[in-house]
Amino acid sequence: MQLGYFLLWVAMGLTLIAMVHYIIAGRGKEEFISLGRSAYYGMTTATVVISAFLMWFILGNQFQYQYVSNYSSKNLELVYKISAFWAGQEGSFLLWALFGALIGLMLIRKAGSFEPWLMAFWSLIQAFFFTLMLIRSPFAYLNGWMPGMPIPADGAGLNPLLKNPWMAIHPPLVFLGYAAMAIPAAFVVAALIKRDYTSWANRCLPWTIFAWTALGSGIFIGGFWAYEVLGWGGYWGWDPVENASLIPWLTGTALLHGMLVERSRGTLRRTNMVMAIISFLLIIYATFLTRSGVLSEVSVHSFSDLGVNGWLIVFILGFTAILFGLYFRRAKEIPGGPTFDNLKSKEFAFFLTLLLLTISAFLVFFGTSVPVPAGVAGSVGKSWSSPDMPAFLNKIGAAMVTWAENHKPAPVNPEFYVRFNTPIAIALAALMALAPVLAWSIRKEGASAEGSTKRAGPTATLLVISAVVAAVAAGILLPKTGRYAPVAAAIALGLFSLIALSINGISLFGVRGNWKRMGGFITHVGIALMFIGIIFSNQSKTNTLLLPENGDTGRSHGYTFQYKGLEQLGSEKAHMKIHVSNGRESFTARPTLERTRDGVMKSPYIQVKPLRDLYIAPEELAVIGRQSVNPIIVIDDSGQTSRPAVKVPGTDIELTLQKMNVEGRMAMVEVKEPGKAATMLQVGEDAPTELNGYTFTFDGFTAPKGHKAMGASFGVNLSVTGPDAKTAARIKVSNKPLISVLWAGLILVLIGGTIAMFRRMDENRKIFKDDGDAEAVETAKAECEIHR
Amino acid sequence: MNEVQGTEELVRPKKKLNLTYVVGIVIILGFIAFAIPEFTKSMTPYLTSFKEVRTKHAGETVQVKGELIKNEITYDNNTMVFYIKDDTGDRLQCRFDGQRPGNLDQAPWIVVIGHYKDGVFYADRLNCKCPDKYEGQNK
Repeated sequence: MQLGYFLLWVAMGLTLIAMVHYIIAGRGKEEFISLGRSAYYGMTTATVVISAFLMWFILGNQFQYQYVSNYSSKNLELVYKISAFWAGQEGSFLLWALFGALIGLMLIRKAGSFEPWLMAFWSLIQAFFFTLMLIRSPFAYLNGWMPGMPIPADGAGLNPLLKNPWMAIHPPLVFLGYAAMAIPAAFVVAALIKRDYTSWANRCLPWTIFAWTALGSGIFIGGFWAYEVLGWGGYWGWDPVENASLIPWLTGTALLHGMLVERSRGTLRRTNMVMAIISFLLIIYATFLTRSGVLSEVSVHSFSDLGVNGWLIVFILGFTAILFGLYFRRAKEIPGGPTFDNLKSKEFAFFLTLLLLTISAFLVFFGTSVPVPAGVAGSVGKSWSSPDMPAFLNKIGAAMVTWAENHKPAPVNPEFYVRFNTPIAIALAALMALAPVLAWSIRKEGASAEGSTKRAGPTATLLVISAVVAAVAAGILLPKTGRYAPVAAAIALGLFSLIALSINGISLFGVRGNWKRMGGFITHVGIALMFIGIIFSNQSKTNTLLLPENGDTGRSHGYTFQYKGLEQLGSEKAHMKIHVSNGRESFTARPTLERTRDGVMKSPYIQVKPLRDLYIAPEELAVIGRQSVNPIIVIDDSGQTSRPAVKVPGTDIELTLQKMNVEGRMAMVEVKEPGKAATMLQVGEDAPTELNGYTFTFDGFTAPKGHKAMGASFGVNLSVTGPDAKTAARIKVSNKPLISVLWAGLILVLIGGTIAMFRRMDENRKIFKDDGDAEAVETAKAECEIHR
Repeated sequence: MNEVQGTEELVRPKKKLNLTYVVGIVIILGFIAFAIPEFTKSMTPYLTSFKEVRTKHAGETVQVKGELIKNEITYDNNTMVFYIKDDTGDRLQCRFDGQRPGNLDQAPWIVVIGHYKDGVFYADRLNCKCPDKYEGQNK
C-alpha cells in the first residue's frame, strides 16, 4: 500500500479514536480529554503530512499519480502548480479536511467547557472527509501504471480557465468558508448535549462571522473571476454551482443576525440553533450538488461522478438525523427568551432580516434543487439495475431510471431568482437604512440603548417618499422602457440603497475613534454599494462588431475600433490586437483567444474607469468571403443516381460531388470554372485543398437518417474561401456602468466582516476569560455591564 | 459597551399578541402566494422533438436539445443565427444574442433555452455539452 493512502487510513483511525475519547470525556470522565486531544493532534499531523505528500508529488512532477497527471504539467508556473492541488475533487476534499483539522486546533483552545462534545462532533465531520478520500484517493496511480514502470513524461496540465490568480485563491476561500460553517452546528451539538442553552451563541458568534466572511470572499472572488476571464460579461449566472455556495451563505447571514439578537437580548435561541444546523447541512448539500453529477445536465459547469454519490446521500441523511434528532429531543426544555412585540425596534428589524434572508435562501434552494429528484433517481436506479445487484433491486432500479427519463430535469429560468430576490433586496435595503436609527426595545431598565429612535421617523418618511418617487418615475418612463414593475423595483432599490448608504455612513462618524464598532456599518455601506453597482451595471448595452483586418473600423459606445491582426503567444494562445480610439484617447485592446482541450477560451479586455468599464470580449475569428456549400448525390426511389451541380455563392464556380468515401473521410468533387478545364479535386479531413486561388475545406458528411439506400441524398459540407477573402475579428463591446462601485462594495463587506469578527473575539475574551467556571463568567458579564 | 445579559435580568414585555409570529407568517404566506405561479412559469420543459417546440410549446420558455449544424453559423448584427437538428433530421433556426460559447464547435450536441415564435427559436441561453469539461480525462 502507498504511504499516502496508508496515512489516510491512519488519519481516519485517529479521528475516530479522538471522537470516542471525546465522547467518553463528555459523559463525565474528564481525564479522557487529553487522550482525545492527542488523537486529534495526531490526525491533524497526518492530514498535514498527507497534504504535503500531494503537494510534493505535484511539485516533483510525479505524473504516475492520476491526480498529478490530470491537473499539472511540467512547464506549469509554480503558483498554478500549487493551485493544481485543489483543481480537482479529491484534492479539494483534502484541502477541506486540512482546513477542518486546523480549525479544530483553534476550537480546542477556545471551546472551554464545550470542548468534549464539540470536538467529538468535529472529529465525526473529519471522518466524513477521510471516508470520501478513501473511496477516491488523491494518490491513485494512472490507469495501467505500476511501480517499477517509468514515470510518464508529462501531465495534462491545468485547465486554462483556472490559470488565473483569482482562481488560485477562490477555491481555498470557499473551502475555508465551508469548513468554518460547520462550527455553529458543532457548538449546537455540544450545547444540546450539555444542556447549556444560553452561552453557545455568544461563544460561537466570532466563528460565525469568520465563516461568513471567508465564504463570502470566496463567492465574491468567484464572481469577479467570471467577469474578468469568462468574457460573457456577467459576474453571476444563477448556475447551480454558484447557487450551491450562495444558499449556505444566505442562511449564514441570517444566523449571524439571529446571534446578534441573542447576544444582546437573550432571545431567538431555538431559531439560531435551527439556522446553525441548516447552514451546516446546506454545506454538505452543496458538496452533493457539485460533486455527485446529479445536475450535470442542467449546468454549464461539468461534474464527474466520483462514485461518492451514495456516500454523500448517506452523510446528508446521517447528519440530518443526528442534528435534528438531538434538537427535537431537547427543544422543549430550551428556555425561550423574551418575545418582542414592538414593531419599531432594532430586534424586530434584525428578525425581519433573518426571515427575509431565510426566504431568499429557501427559494434559491428550491429552484436549484428542482432537477435533483430525477438526477438522484436516475443515478441510483442505474447502479441498482446492474447485474451484481439482487434481482428485486434490478426491477426497482429499472423503474427509477424510466421515471427519471420521463421527468427530464427542468431547470428553473434564472429570471425566477431575479424576480424573487428583487423584492427581498428592496426590503433588506430598507432594513439596513432603519437598523441604525432603531433602538432595542427589550432592555434592562435604566440602561441606555444604542442609537436612538429620534431619527427613525425621518428615515421612514424618506423611504416612503422614495417608494412613491420610484412608482411615479417608473410610470413616467413607461413609454420609453415598456416595463413597469422591473423599472420601479430598480429605482426603489437604488434609492433605498442610497438612504441605507447615507445612514450607515453617518453612523460610522458616530463611532469614529472606536474602530471595532464600525464593522456592521461598513458591511452595510458595502451591501448598499453592491446593490447600486448591480442596478447600474445591468444597464449595460452590447454591440457586436465585425472588423476586417486592417480594414473598416467599427463604432460602439463613442469609440472606433480597428482590428490590427493576431498577436501569437505560443501555438495555442493569441491576442486580437484592436486599436480603440475616440479622439481624446486611444489604446490597444488585446482580448485573448486560447485553444484548450475543451474548446476556445475567450477572455475579454477590460478598460477600467471609475464610472464605467469598457468590456471588449472576443466572439470569433471570422473569414469574410467564406462560403459554405453542400454538393450532393441523389439516389431516387428507382435507384437512379443524379449529381446536381452546386454554384458557390458570389463566384462562378460550380461543384459536382463525384464520389464519397465515408470511412476514408474524404470525397471527390469536380470543380468547373468558366474558361477553365474541369478539375477533379480530392477533399478530406487532413488539410484544406487549394485550386486557382480558392481554398476548399472539408466540414463533414451529410447523410439521411437510418441508412436508407434509395430515395435519399448524400453529400459533403465544404467551405470555399476565395482569393479576396479576409480574416476578421468579431467582438462584442459593452459598457458596464458603475461596476467599480459593486467591487468596492464587496471589498467593504469583507472589511466590515473582519472588523466585526475582531470586535466579537475581543468581547468574548472578556466574557469567557476563565471558562468552565460559571461564577467567573457571571463576574465577567457583570464587569461588562459596568463598562456599558 | 457589552450587551451580553442573561434573560432573567431582562424586563419582559407584557404578553400580548406576539407580533413577531403574525408578521413572520404574513410575509411567508405572501411569498408562497407569489412563489407558486412564478415558479411554475419558470419551469422549462426539456424537449428533443422540434415538432413539439413549434406546436404544443410555441411561445413558452423551453429547453431544446439538438445537434448544431456547424458550418451554417452566421451573424445578423448583434445576433448569432444558427441551425440545430433533431433525431429526425428536422431543422430549427435559432437566434442568440449572448456570447458564443468557446466550446460550441466541439459540442456533440447543444441545449438551447428560449422560446419559439414565427419560425425562429429565440435562445436566451446556450448550454454546450462537452464530456468532462473540467475534469480532463478523469475517467
